[in-house]
Amino acid sequence: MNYQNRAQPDVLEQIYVHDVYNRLDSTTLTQDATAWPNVRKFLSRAASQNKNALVADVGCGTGKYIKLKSDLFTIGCDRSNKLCEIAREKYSHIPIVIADNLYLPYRDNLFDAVLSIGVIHHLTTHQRRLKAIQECLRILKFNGGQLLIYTWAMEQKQRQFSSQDVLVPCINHQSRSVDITRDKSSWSSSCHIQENILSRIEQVDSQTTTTTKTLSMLESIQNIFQRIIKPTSSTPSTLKLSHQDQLKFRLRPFPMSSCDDEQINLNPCNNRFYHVFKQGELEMLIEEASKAISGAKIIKSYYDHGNWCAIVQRDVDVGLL
Amino acid sequence: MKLITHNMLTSNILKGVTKGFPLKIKADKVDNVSVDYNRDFITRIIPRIEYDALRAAVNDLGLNESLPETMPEAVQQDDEFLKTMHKVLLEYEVEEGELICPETGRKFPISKGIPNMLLQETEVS
Repeated sequence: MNYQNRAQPDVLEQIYVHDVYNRLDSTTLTQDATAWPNVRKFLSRAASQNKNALVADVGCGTGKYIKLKSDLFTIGCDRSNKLCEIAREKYSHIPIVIADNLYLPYRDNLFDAVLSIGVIHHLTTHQRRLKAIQECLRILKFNGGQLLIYTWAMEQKQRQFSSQDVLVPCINHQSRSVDITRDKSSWSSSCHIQENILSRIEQVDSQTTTTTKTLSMLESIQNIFQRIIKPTSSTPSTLKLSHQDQLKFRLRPFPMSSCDDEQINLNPCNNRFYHVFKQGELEMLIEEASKAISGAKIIKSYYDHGNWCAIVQRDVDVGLL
Repeated sequence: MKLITHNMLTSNILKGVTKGFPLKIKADKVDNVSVDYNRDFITRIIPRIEYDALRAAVNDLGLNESLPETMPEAVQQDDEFLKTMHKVLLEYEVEEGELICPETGRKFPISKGIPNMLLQETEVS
C-alpha cells in the first residue's frame, strides 16, 4: 500500500506551510525584505485612483504592506497566528485577522484593492489555488477594484526546479554562524518529527474513504524530500546537500531577500511547500477563476524578481450587457 | 480589533450561514488608542461603512458614544459627527473577547487584539 497517495491537501498545507510558519523563530520572521517596488507602485495607484481606498492584504505575513501607505486603510490577514501576532507587535494596533484564503471572512464587493503576494503558490492543488483567487475576487469592489497576485515562477535564472511541486527549505539567519553540527540531538529529534509527520499523513489516510488526486504531486514531493533530506544514519552531523543537489536546486533564502552563502537550515521540518508557476499558468488560472466572478479580467501580467504576477480588475461592463 | 475591522467581517463562510453580519461582539478587554484625526480619510471611508452594524457594535461594547439612529444627510459638513465616527471606528480596540455569528452562535475568539476566523473543515460549505 502506498499511503502517500491518499493524503489530503489541507493536511499537507498544514504540515508544509502553516506549521512551518508557526514554528519559525521571530527573528527569522521579522527580517522582512523591503517592499517590492511594483507592489508599492500598485498601492500608490490605488491610493490616487480611489477616493476611499480600502485594501485587503491576503496572506500579509508580518505585515510589511499594511502600513506602507498612510492614505490607505489596509487590513491584513494570514493563516498563521504567529505571523499575525508578530505583525501586531511590530506595528502596534494594525488591523489584522487570522483567516484562511479559501474562506475569507469579509463582506462581498468591499475592497478597492486586494494583495495576494506569495500566497497562492503555497496551496497544494489546482482546485484550491482556483478557490483562493475566487475568494480574492469576491471581496473586490465591482467598479474598478483591482487584485494583484504574485506567485513564484518555475522559470528562474538562479534556480532550477525538478518539478512544479517542491519543498523548499527556509534559511535561518540566526543559525548562520552556528555550525549545524552543534547538537546531534536536534537532528535526531528532527528525524523523529519527520516520522511523526509521515505517520500523521498515514493516520489521515486511514480515515479517508475517497482517493484524492494528489499522487503525482506527492511523488514529486517525495522526490524532493529524498533529495533534500538524506539522513545518513551513521553521521548525522555531516549532513549536507551534495554539490550536484545544490546546483540543481538553488535554495531560496527566507524571507524573500536574495543573498548567497547562507547557512542552510537543514531542519527538515522547515521545508515549505511551493507550487511554482510556469509561464502563462497564472493567467489561465485567473481566467478560470473569473468564470465564476462577473466582470473580472486581467489588465496586466508580468515577470518580477522570480515571480509571475498579474493585475486583475473587476468591472461590470455595462456596454456588453 | 478596531470597529472598522469588525464592520468588514462576516461569518457567511460557515456552512448554512447566509448573511453572517454583523457579528455580535462580546468584549472582555477594550483599550483606547489615540489616532490622529484625519478629516479627509474619515469622509472617504464613511460610504463603505455599514452604519447599522457599527451602531450595533457600539451597543455591544456599551460605549458612551452618541451615534444618531440614521446617518446625517450632510455628513461632510457635520464635524461633530465625523469626529465621533473617527473615534468609534479607529480608537477603540477590542483586545480580548469573542465575535459571535448572528445565525449559528459560533464563537470566534479575539486574542491580543486579533480575531481568529479560522474554521474546521467540517464547518465550511
